[in-house]
Amino acid sequence: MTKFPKPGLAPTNRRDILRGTALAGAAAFAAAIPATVAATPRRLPAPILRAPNPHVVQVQAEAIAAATPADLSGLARLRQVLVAPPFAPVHEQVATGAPKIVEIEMITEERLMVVDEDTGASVWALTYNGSVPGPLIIVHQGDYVELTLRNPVESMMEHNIDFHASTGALGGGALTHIYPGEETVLRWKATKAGCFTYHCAPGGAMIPYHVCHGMNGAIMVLPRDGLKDGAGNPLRYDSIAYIGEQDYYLPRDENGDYIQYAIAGEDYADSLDAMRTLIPTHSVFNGAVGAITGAAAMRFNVGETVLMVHNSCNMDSRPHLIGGHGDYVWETSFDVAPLTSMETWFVRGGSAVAAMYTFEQPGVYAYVNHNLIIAALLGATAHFIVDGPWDNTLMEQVVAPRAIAT
Amino acid sequence: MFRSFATALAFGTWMAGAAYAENHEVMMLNRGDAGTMVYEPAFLQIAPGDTVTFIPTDRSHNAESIEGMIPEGAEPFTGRINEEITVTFDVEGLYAIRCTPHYAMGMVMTIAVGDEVAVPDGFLEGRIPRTALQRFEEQLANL
Repeated sequence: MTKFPKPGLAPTNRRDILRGTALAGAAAFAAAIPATVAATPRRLPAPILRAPNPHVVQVQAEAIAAATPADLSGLARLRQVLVAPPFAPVHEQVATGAPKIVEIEMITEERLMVVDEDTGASVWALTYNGSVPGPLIIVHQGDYVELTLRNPVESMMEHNIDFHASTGALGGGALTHIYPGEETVLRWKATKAGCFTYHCAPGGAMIPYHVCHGMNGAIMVLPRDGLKDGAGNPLRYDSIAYIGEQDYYLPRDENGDYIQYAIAGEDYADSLDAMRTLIPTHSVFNGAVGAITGAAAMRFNVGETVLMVHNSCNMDSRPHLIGGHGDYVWETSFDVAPLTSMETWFVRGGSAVAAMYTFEQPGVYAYVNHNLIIAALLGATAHFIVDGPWDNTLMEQVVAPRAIAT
Repeated sequence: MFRSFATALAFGTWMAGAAYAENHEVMMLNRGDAGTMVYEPAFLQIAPGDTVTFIPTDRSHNAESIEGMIPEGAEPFTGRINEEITVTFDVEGLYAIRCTPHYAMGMVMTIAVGDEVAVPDGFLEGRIPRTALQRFEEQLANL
């Protein structure tokens, strides 16, 4: 099986987090949250499982069978090697040539992941390619995405994928259901430019169950001629920071301790009870508390322009770069002019956004969900460490803290 | 509440047809003798008119008949997660049953209704998860 680098999943170190900012350190105190979930009634009305009306499914199957075959023989093919977050795959900002077929491969991997090493909270994460979030995909408007989706034979569960950027068949979800040991290939045309969520959606209560176990990520569909400001001038970035905000609802026992499960899927009933509270036990960037802090912080230089792609499949979020800004922010699509000079921007739950910023000062920046309770207590904090010369015209400590003269 | 009602219902059904119909209990388990996510027993041979009560011994399970894998004329059924249900099996033949969320994990069982039950042609030829297929084959070996 293909091995994927997983820098974002490197074990975090409590001391590393403390060395960053006090804010990130505070995330460790999530352990002190009273076990509110324990108060959940043990038996709630169970969800009614409804399969789609067989007649409707039949209509779609007949329409697909009767469709004219697409002739894409003239198109060039390009293989995109996906990488683990917070990094982006090799790509062009301005497309060269005609639309292409971009081939990608994703494996639905179920793996036990530590969510917070301080409390021992863990989850049998359901992932694409082993990471939370799934890998960032980048194509251009008009390109075709051709995904090979594989479910390893040792998996416990059925998986599929719904691309918000695609059109038809529940975002491809209806055509990609695969059991352990199966694979499928789906091709779809990227007609809309913007950042979009993708996620697993096997049906019914399994949809939020898979999403709340990490099975979501983002695709960025760039305009063929690249990003532009409101006046039509080109905007280019030097690097990408890909952040996936993940809400976890981890079941606890009567003592308030997080329950460890032996296999993926064993936590199903407990998880649904915890999810019903709508109160996450964790809301983290890239899978775990501190995954992008301390030694795993991202590094940039003064003068470097970074495009921050933020995905949140479930919860609304409000990213804020402490000590910086969003110079250009595309909250909706790349069809509209970007918002400019923003302090905090908005990610609608079930979407992904892009924000561009050029660093002007060195130091540690905290990239947070500016619901600061979520940032500091639930884990939604990342660190960007920026090297370069300090600009005293932008900021200077004129007087260091001293006693007030009496 | 529902459980006691369902049990009473099942018991009533059993009493009413005492001379003819029998009730069989099936436990739905996270872990059993045959491995993880199992029905116990995983195979039943019963008489037409008998009832089967599916008991959510462990949480998060249900019992659902599999489309295309029950006798012609038999009524499909879908139990709710975490809730006990009792199903009456009137039509003779072979019934494949699965736990909706744990089908891919192989949580299936087979019920043969009647004395002379043959496996219909192509019974296992549909798209069945690998673990489920293995267990179906083991269950059908009881016939």
